[in-house]
Amino acid sequence: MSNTRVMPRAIGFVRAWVLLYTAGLPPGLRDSRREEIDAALWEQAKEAETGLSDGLPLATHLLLRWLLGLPDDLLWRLAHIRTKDADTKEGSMVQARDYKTLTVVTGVVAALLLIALVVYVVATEVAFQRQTESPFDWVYIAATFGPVSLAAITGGFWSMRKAPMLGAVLVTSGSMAFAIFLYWLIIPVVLGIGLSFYAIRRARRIQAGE
Amino acid sequence: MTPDPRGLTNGTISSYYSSMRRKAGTIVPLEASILEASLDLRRRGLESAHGFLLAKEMQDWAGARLLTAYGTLYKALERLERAGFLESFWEDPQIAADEARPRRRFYKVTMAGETALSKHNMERAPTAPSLRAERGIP
Repeated sequence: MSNTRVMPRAIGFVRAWVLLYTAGLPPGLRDSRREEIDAALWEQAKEAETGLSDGLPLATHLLLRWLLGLPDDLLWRLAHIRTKDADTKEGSMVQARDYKTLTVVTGVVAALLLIALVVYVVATEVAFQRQTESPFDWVYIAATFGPVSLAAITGGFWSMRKAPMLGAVLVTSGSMAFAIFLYWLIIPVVLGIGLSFYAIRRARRIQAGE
Repeated sequence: MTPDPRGLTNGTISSYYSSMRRKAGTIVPLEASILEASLDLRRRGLESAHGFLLAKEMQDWAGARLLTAYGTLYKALERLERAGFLESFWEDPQIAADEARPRRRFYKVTMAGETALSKHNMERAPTAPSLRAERGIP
């Protein structure tokens, strides 16, 4: 995989994540976050074009920036859901408890994604060294992302009754982790987005007591 | 919902609710770094700076290998703006279009931001050098 292919993929990855976690927000808030990240990605890509280092370290840098900011993205998103929903005493108590759980869950998901990301980068590098895209590399990636994603999705649906929004975050993280890394197959992206919206809708219905 | 006589609402007793997480007018080290970076750029003639530039400035100061994460940086910028320590504005779309790039959002430190930063530096340790002094910036 050539360096010129790595950077656009990394940018596409971060963009897809931003599209996902800002989905459903009020248009002003949603668009300003998307535009802001887009501008930051553009600046970084520009630096990659004019900078001394090649695409892979910068792409890795970009993905690490995404990964390290993941808990903040999720908490930011959750905060914007909750400022709308925090009208009942019960709701507030649930929020306090959920926040602690969410921190732990986000940490676990982020750690798993970090492992998967390292595997992805290594597999990409191996393919690049071999000047090929061996199917083994993709099997290797799928073997890492598959279990992580499936665990997150299953855990999300399992925990949705007790903690709806936590469940939705888990399902979304799991389905999008898989979708983003296999985005060129299109179907995982469609499935991932569909599953994420379904989980968020279901969580909202459970919260509303339907 | 009946209002609480102590002025509390259910929205503000959540542990996540941002305004309940710290005293008004106080900032955390990351926010202090953002304000310092913005003020330093201002001293060098840049009245306002976009997020990437602020992240680069902070990275240079700290000698860090990585820029501040997207989520962390933009969440902190939003918090600072909500607290009145930063003001933001979007650049003219025409400028961005002419340069064939996305529009930038610029941030500028307010007087309240400068005050909060001075307070933070003093509270941090009255006898300790400020972040700027530590970094060898006059």
